[in-house]
Amino acid sequence: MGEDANISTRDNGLGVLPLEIGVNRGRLPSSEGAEIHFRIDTPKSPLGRTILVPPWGMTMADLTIPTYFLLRNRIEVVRFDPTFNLGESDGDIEGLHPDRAVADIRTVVLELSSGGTSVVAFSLACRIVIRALTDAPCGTVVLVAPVVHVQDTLRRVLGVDLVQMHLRGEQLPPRVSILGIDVPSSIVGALTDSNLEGLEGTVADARTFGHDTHLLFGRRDEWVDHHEVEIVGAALPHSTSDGLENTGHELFFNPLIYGVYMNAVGDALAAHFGLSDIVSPPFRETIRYARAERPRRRRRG
Amino acid sequence: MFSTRKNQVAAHAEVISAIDTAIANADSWRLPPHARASLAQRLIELSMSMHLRTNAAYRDYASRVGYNATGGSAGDLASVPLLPALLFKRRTATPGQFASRDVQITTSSGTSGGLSAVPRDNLTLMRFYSSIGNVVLELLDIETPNIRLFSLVPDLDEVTGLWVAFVMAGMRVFFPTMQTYVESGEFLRDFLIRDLSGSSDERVVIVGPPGHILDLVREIRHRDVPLTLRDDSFVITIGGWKRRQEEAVEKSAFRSMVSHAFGIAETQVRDSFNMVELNAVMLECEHHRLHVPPWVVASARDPDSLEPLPSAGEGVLAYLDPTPTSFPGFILSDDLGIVETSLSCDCGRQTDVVHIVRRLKTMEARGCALKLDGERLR
Repeated sequence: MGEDANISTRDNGLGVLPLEIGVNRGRLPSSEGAEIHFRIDTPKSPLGRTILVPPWGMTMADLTIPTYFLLRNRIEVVRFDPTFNLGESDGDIEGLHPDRAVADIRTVVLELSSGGTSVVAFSLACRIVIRALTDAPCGTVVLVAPVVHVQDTLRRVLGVDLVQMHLRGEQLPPRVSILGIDVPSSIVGALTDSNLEGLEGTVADARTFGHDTHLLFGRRDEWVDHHEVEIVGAALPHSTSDGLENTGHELFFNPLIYGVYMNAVGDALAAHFGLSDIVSPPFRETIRYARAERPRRRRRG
Repeated sequence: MFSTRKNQVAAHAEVISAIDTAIANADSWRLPPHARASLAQRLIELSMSMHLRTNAAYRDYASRVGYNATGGSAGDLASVPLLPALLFKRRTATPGQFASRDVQITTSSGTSGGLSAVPRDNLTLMRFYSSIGNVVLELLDIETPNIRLFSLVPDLDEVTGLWVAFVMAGMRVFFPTMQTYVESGEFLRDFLIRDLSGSSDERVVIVGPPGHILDLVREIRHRDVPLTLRDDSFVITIGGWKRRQEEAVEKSAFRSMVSHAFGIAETQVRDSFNMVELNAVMLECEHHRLHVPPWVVASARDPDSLEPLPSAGEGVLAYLDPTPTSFPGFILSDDLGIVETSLSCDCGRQTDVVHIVRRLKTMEARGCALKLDGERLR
């Protein structure tokens, strides 16, 4: 651990931040010895800790909205970047492998959870969490816009069923662009080798998932069949499922939908942390936090 | 502690509105013209109904200009009472007059005929950024934050309240690595060129006023070392030439200059349009047409009668934007322009397309505004 700092609460053109936040950055060794970079944002007198797991295509730096929402509700937030992925941690995305993602999430939870730490995962990361945290020591798990059938979601996103092509023995192009991120197509084979591509594998993992779990899914999500989310919910021993009306998979660049999801996350965590009133911070405050957490790099003077 | 409710499926209490759904839904762009018109009509009626119910000043104004709130057919959009942009510039018609909630006052640059001040509440701001997200996904195909964003707009702590600076400050929520290259009013051109030179492997988006982009192009030419940005990078102009109008370069010549300087195709050089009174952004497609988002209705109005003109007629531009809640988004702008209705663009989209011809002179704008609400503005 190291690199302690505090986020400035001063007026930076958007008013004063209404809470004090301490920031601690650190690194953990992954199971392969690569460094997993993480940061912990701590509000004054926190009620508990939550670990955020970023969705595909996003890094810990991109989780400003959920981080500030939780901080505003006095919950300490741990963010990290998996290795061999986007972000600050070691390893180039050329080495992307689902087993590494599983191991990294497990490492972070084992090292940074403190008893009742909750975990909030987004989109594709939900599938990895269901595999990674089966018996890990953590509290409530919230799965937001959960991808539970990776093959189906990839097909919906890409317009072609790469998993089926691979299983038929067809030649895949050497690289594939998933939401604008270019990766080796060997990732498809790695998914099937790890039994992470199908709904059946998710259901099998879910049956042994021992945590209180909340599934928050959008009823307008075009990338996820919400009936399949409900099937996984039925397999989880301790779960609730909330279908959010008129809500899709917009976890990037849509503060309205993100806000709906985060309010539901707040509700899901309320009992866990003893929250009586959920604070939905105005977006202006989130902008203010985004600016405060990355002070301008002055070039002159 | 937590008690589990096994397999309980409960619809969450949060239900977002029809307006929010339209903004969130990329498919809105692919609706056939009649369905798109019907969607916009419905959303504007919802917005109109809300403003008439909650905004006494607007209700009085609507009543004074004879608006029949019980209408409902598509043709009625022409009769929606418009607020002249001039109204937001007047101290007597303060923003508070049209606002009833906790608001952020956002201002124009004030380079053409006074400072506009527009009150935005939380929902209005959230809808604005959500609508940008929709437009950016649709027209720039940016689906994740995995780009490098370079802003040539001043930081908000140097220009408190300036709308364009506020817009860019909000972009940092979605693109946290965004860097700003204006400091103490000075454009840090050399720092930007240095940083761009090391970004050839990344998808880059440069956003700034055309004057700064022109400065950048001239310096790159002067150094005789053109940059080579990744081919899916963008240079996006915002805000127009303003005080540097005399230096304005014709659009296609400008695109050619930028294209050569940055090593990208001209299709990657795009203009955008927004004004502080409008809660939406319009962005050019690769064929350089400004597409109107499907939830907004744009029209060109006859300068004398303020009646909507047929497609491609030149007039004063008006916008019906259902997204603001802290002020009615039904605006008669200060711009002269053309709206091509349901244009089948070469990019494959079929939407209304706006061409801005020029800014109205102050007296022209005042003349139009007086036709709308002489009693208030005189």
